[in-house]
Amino acid sequence: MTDQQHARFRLDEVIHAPIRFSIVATLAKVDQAEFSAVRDAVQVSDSVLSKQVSLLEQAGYVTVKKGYVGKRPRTWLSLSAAGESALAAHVEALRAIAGG
Amino acid sequence: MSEHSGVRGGPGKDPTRDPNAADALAPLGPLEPLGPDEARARLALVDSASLATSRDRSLHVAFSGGIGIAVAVLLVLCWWMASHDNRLGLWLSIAGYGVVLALMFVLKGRAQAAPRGFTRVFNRGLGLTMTLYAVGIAWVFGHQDPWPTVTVVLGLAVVVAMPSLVAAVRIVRMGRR
Repeated sequence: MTDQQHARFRLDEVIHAPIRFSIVATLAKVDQAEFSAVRDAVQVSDSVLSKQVSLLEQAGYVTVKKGYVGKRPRTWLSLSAAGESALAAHVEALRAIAGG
Repeated sequence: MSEHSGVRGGPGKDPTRDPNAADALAPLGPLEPLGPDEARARLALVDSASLATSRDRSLHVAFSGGIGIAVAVLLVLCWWMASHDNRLGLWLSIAGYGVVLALMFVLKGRAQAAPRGFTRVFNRGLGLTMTLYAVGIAWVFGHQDPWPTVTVVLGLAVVVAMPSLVAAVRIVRMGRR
Protein backbone atom coordinates (compact mmCIF):
# COMPACT_ATOMS: atom_id res chain seq x y z
CA MET A 1 0.00 0.00 0.00
CA THR A 2 1.29 3.43 -0.90
CA ASP A 3 0.26 6.96 0.08
CA GLN A 4 0.95 8.23 -3.44
CA GLN A 5 -2.19 8.94 -5.50
CA HIS A 6 -2.66 7.15 -8.79
CA ALA A 7 -1.69 9.32 -11.77
CA ARG A 8 -5.29 9.36 -13.05
CA PHE A 9 -6.21 11.66 -10.15
CA ARG A 10 -3.79 14.22 -11.55
CA LEU A 11 -5.56 14.36 -14.91
CA ASP A 12 -7.23 17.70 -15.52
CA GLU A 13 -10.99 17.37 -15.99
CA VAL A 14 -11.21 20.33 -18.35
CA ILE A 15 -8.46 19.05 -20.66
CA HIS A 16 -9.35 15.38 -20.26
CA ALA A 17 -12.21 15.48 -22.80
CA PRO A 18 -10.85 14.44 -26.24
CA ILE A 19 -11.87 17.52 -28.23
CA ARG A 20 -10.67 19.97 -25.59
CA PHE A 21 -7.46 17.98 -25.30
CA SER A 22 -6.97 18.27 -29.08
CA ILE A 23 -7.65 22.02 -28.96
CA VAL A 24 -5.19 22.60 -26.14
CA ALA A 25 -2.53 20.33 -27.69
CA THR A 26 -2.91 22.18 -31.00
CA LEU A 27 -2.72 25.64 -29.41
CA ALA A 28 0.38 24.58 -27.48
CA LYS A 29 2.31 24.60 -30.77
CA VAL A 30 1.50 28.21 -31.68
CA ASP A 31 1.51 31.67 -30.10
CA GLN A 32 -1.97 32.24 -31.49
CA ALA A 33 -4.18 30.81 -34.19
CA GLU A 34 -7.25 31.83 -36.07
CA PHE A 35 -10.51 30.14 -35.06
CA SER A 36 -10.98 28.57 -38.51
CA ALA A 37 -7.45 27.09 -38.50
CA VAL A 38 -8.09 25.41 -35.13
CA ARG A 39 -11.50 24.19 -36.35
CA ASP A 40 -9.88 22.58 -39.41
CA ALA A 41 -7.01 21.09 -37.40
CA VAL A 42 -9.30 19.56 -34.76
CA GLN A 43 -11.91 18.64 -37.40
CA VAL A 44 -15.02 19.87 -35.63
CA SER A 45 -17.85 22.22 -36.59
CA ASP A 46 -17.86 25.92 -35.72
CA SER A 47 -20.51 25.43 -33.04
CA VAL A 48 -18.69 22.54 -31.32
CA LEU A 49 -15.40 24.45 -31.32
CA SER A 50 -17.13 27.59 -30.06
CA LYS A 51 -18.71 25.66 -27.18
CA GLN A 52 -15.48 23.93 -26.20
CA VAL A 53 -13.46 27.14 -26.44
CA SER A 54 -16.00 28.84 -24.16
CA LEU A 55 -15.44 26.15 -21.54
CA LEU A 56 -11.67 26.45 -21.88
CA GLU A 57 -11.95 30.23 -21.63
CA GLN A 58 -14.09 29.93 -18.48
CA ALA A 59 -11.43 27.69 -17.01
CA GLY A 60 -8.82 30.33 -17.84
CA TYR A 61 -6.92 28.01 -20.17
CA VAL A 62 -7.58 29.75 -23.48
CA THR A 63 -7.59 33.43 -24.39
CA VAL A 64 -9.98 34.63 -27.08
CA LYS A 65 -9.22 37.80 -28.98
CA LYS A 66 -11.54 39.30 -31.57
CA GLY A 67 -10.46 41.72 -34.26
CA TYR A 68 -10.58 42.64 -37.90
CA VAL A 69 -8.28 42.04 -40.85
CA GLY A 70 -9.51 44.62 -43.31
CA LYS A 71 -13.29 44.41 -43.02
CA ARG A 72 -13.33 40.74 -42.13
CA PRO A 73 -13.92 39.85 -38.48
CA ARG A 74 -11.43 37.37 -37.07
CA THR A 75 -11.22 35.44 -33.81
CA TRP A 76 -7.80 34.49 -32.49
CA LEU A 77 -7.22 31.78 -29.91
CA SER A 78 -4.17 31.29 -27.73
CA LEU A 79 -3.20 29.17 -24.77
CA SER A 80 -2.88 31.14 -21.53
CA ALA A 81 -0.11 30.60 -18.98
CA ALA A 82 -2.62 28.67 -16.84
CA GLY A 83 -3.47 26.55 -19.88
CA GLU A 84 0.20 25.80 -20.50
CA SER A 85 0.69 24.74 -16.88
CA ALA A 86 -2.46 22.61 -16.92
CA LEU A 87 -1.39 20.89 -20.15
CA ALA A 88 2.10 20.24 -18.78
CA ALA A 89 0.64 18.67 -15.60
CA HIS A 90 -1.88 16.68 -17.64
CA VAL A 91 0.84 15.37 -19.99
CA GLU A 92 2.93 14.42 -16.97
CA ALA A 93 0.01 12.40 -15.60
CA LEU A 94 -0.50 10.77 -19.03
CA ARG A 95 3.18 9.78 -19.09
CA ALA A 96 2.82 8.20 -15.66
CA ILE A 97 -0.24 6.25 -16.83
CA ALA A 98 1.42 5.25 -20.11
CA GLY A 99 4.46 4.08 -18.17
CA GLY A 100 2.26 1.60 -16.42
CA MET B 1 -11.87 16.09 -6.64
CA SER B 2 -14.36 13.97 -8.47
CA GLU B 3 -14.33 10.38 -7.23
CA HIS B 4 -16.73 9.38 -9.98
CA SER B 5 -14.57 10.37 -12.91
CA GLY B 6 -11.22 9.81 -11.28
CA VAL B 7 -9.92 13.12 -12.58
CA ARG B 8 -9.10 16.37 -10.87
CA GLY B 9 -11.90 18.90 -10.87
CA GLY B 10 -11.10 21.90 -13.04
CA PRO B 11 -12.21 25.42 -12.26
CA GLY B 12 -15.04 25.15 -14.81
CA LYS B 13 -18.67 24.15 -14.22
CA ASP B 14 -19.62 20.77 -12.81
CA PRO B 15 -21.08 18.90 -15.81
CA THR B 16 -23.18 16.67 -13.57
CA ARG B 17 -25.02 19.68 -12.08
CA ASP B 18 -25.04 22.34 -14.75
CA PRO B 19 -27.30 21.36 -17.67
CA ASN B 20 -25.55 23.73 -20.09
CA ALA B 21 -22.11 22.42 -19.18
CA ALA B 22 -23.41 18.85 -19.38
CA ASP B 23 -24.75 19.57 -22.84
CA ALA B 24 -21.39 20.95 -23.87
CA LEU B 25 -19.63 17.85 -22.59
CA ALA B 26 -22.13 15.44 -24.17
CA PRO B 27 -20.34 15.00 -27.52
CA LEU B 28 -17.01 14.47 -25.82
CA GLY B 29 -17.62 11.02 -24.41
CA PRO B 30 -17.55 9.88 -20.80
CA LEU B 31 -14.84 11.14 -18.46
CA GLU B 32 -13.35 7.76 -17.65
CA PRO B 33 -9.87 6.97 -16.42
CA LEU B 34 -7.45 6.26 -19.25
CA GLY B 35 -5.62 3.02 -19.85
CA PRO B 36 -1.91 3.01 -20.76
CA ASP B 37 -2.65 2.55 -24.48
CA GLU B 38 -4.99 5.53 -24.67
CA ALA B 39 -2.57 7.62 -22.60
CA ARG B 40 0.16 6.78 -25.12
CA ALA B 41 -2.16 7.68 -28.01
CA ARG B 42 -2.86 11.07 -26.40
CA LEU B 43 0.83 11.71 -25.82
CA ALA B 44 1.42 10.95 -29.51
CA LEU B 45 -1.26 13.51 -30.35
CA VAL B 46 0.56 16.18 -28.33
CA ASP B 47 3.78 15.45 -30.23
CA SER B 48 2.15 15.38 -33.65
CA ALA B 49 -0.18 18.38 -33.24
CA SER B 50 0.68 21.02 -35.78
CA LEU B 51 -1.06 24.16 -36.89
CA ALA B 52 1.27 26.74 -38.39
CA THR B 53 1.74 25.92 -42.07
CA SER B 54 4.77 26.70 -44.22
CA ARG B 55 2.67 29.48 -45.80
CA ASP B 56 2.11 31.04 -42.35
CA ARG B 57 5.83 30.83 -41.61
CA SER B 58 6.69 32.39 -44.99
CA LEU B 59 4.33 35.30 -44.26
CA HIS B 60 5.90 35.87 -40.83
CA VAL B 61 9.43 35.64 -42.26
CA ALA B 62 8.51 38.14 -45.00
CA PHE B 63 6.93 40.42 -42.38
CA SER B 64 9.91 40.38 -40.02
CA GLY B 65 12.58 40.67 -42.73
CA GLY B 66 10.50 43.18 -44.70
CA ILE B 67 10.17 45.55 -41.76
CA GLY B 68 13.93 45.46 -41.17
CA ILE B 69 14.61 46.28 -44.82
CA ALA B 70 11.89 48.98 -44.94
CA VAL B 71 13.32 50.76 -41.87
CA ALA B 72 16.86 50.56 -43.30
CA VAL B 73 15.67 51.98 -46.65
CA LEU B 74 13.87 54.77 -44.79
CA LEU B 75 17.09 55.67 -42.98
CA VAL B 76 19.01 55.91 -46.26
CA LEU B 77 16.20 57.88 -47.95
CA CYS B 78 16.02 60.34 -45.05
CA TRP B 79 19.78 60.91 -45.34
CA TRP B 80 19.57 61.20 -49.15
CA MET B 81 16.70 63.70 -49.09
CA ALA B 82 18.38 65.74 -46.34
CA SER B 83 21.63 65.69 -48.35
CA HIS B 84 19.77 67.27 -51.28
CA ASP B 85 17.73 69.55 -49.02
CA ASN B 86 14.55 67.96 -50.37
CA ARG B 87 11.88 68.39 -47.70
CA LEU B 88 9.06 67.13 -49.92
CA GLY B 89 11.09 64.02 -50.73
CA LEU B 90 11.70 63.49 -47.03
CA TRP B 91 7.98 63.57 -46.23
CA LEU B 92 7.18 61.40 -49.25
CA SER B 93 9.74 58.85 -48.03
CA ILE B 94 8.10 58.73 -44.60
CA ALA B 95 4.64 58.44 -46.21
CA GLY B 96 5.92 55.66 -48.49
CA TYR B 97 7.30 53.86 -45.46
CA GLY B 98 3.87 54.14 -43.81
CA VAL B 99 2.20 52.62 -46.88
CA VAL B 100 4.72 49.75 -47.05
CA LEU B 101 4.22 49.11 -43.32
CA ALA B 102 0.41 49.04 -43.72
CA LEU B 103 0.68 46.61 -46.66
CA MET B 104 2.96 44.36 -44.64
CA PHE B 105 0.48 44.28 -41.75
CA VAL B 106 -2.25 43.27 -44.22
CA LEU B 107 0.07 40.52 -45.48
CA LYS B 108 0.77 39.34 -41.93
CA GLY B 109 -2.96 39.29 -41.22
CA ARG B 110 -3.37 36.61 -43.89
CA ALA B 111 -1.42 34.15 -41.74
CA GLN B 112 -3.76 31.82 -39.87
CA ALA B 113 -1.35 30.93 -37.08
CA ALA B 114 1.78 32.32 -35.49
CA PRO B 115 4.33 29.59 -34.78
CA ARG B 116 5.28 29.07 -31.12
CA GLY B 117 7.87 31.64 -30.03
CA PHE B 118 7.33 33.84 -33.11
CA THR B 119 5.92 36.81 -31.18
CA ARG B 120 8.86 36.92 -28.75
CA VAL B 121 11.49 36.60 -31.51
CA PHE B 122 9.73 39.13 -33.75
CA ASN B 123 9.21 41.70 -30.98
CA ARG B 124 12.86 41.53 -29.94
CA GLY B 125 14.02 41.95 -33.54
CA LEU B 126 11.62 44.81 -34.23
CA GLY B 127 12.38 46.53 -30.91
CA LEU B 128 16.13 46.44 -31.56
CA THR B 129 15.73 47.56 -35.19
CA MET B 130 13.56 50.53 -34.18
CA THR B 131 15.97 51.47 -31.35
CA LEU B 132 18.93 51.34 -33.74
CA TYR B 133 16.94 53.38 -36.28
CA ALA B 134 16.21 56.07 -33.67
CA VAL B 135 19.87 56.16 -32.62
CA GLY B 136 21.00 56.11 -36.27
CA ILE B 137 18.72 58.91 -37.44
CA ALA B 138 19.68 61.04 -34.42
CA TRP B 139 23.35 60.38 -35.15
CA VAL B 140 23.02 61.18 -38.88
CA PHE B 141 21.19 64.46 -38.30
CA GLY B 142 23.46 65.33 -35.37
CA HIS B 143 26.55 65.23 -37.64
CA GLN B 144 26.27 68.31 -39.80
CA ASP B 145 30.02 68.80 -40.14
CA PRO B 146 31.22 66.53 -41.60
CA TRP B 147 27.96 65.27 -43.07
CA PRO B 148 27.97 61.41 -43.00
CA THR B 149 29.11 59.77 -46.24
CA VAL B 150 27.01 57.30 -48.23
CA THR B 151 29.28 54.42 -47.11
CA VAL B 152 28.72 55.22 -43.44
CA VAL B 153 24.94 55.56 -43.89
CA LEU B 154 24.72 52.31 -45.88
CA GLY B 155 26.71 50.55 -43.14
CA LEU B 156 24.37 52.02 -40.55
CA ALA B 157 21.35 50.84 -42.57
CA VAL B 158 22.70 47.27 -42.58
CA VAL B 159 23.16 47.42 -38.80
CA VAL B 160 19.59 48.76 -38.40
CA ALA B 161 18.08 46.01 -40.57
CA MET B 162 20.13 43.21 -38.99
CA PRO B 163 18.03 42.44 -35.84
CA SER B 164 14.82 42.01 -37.86
CA LEU B 165 16.66 39.95 -40.50
CA VAL B 166 18.16 37.75 -37.76
CA ALA B 167 14.64 37.36 -36.31
CA ALA B 168 13.41 36.27 -39.78
CA VAL B 169 16.20 33.67 -40.00
CA ARG B 170 15.34 32.41 -36.52
CA ILE B 171 11.69 32.03 -37.53
CA VAL B 172 12.82 29.99 -40.57
CA ARG B 173 14.85 27.75 -38.25
CA MET B 174 11.94 27.41 -35.81
CA GLY B 175 9.91 26.00 -38.70
CA ARG B 176 12.51 23.32 -39.40
CA ARG B 177 12.46 21.97 -35.86
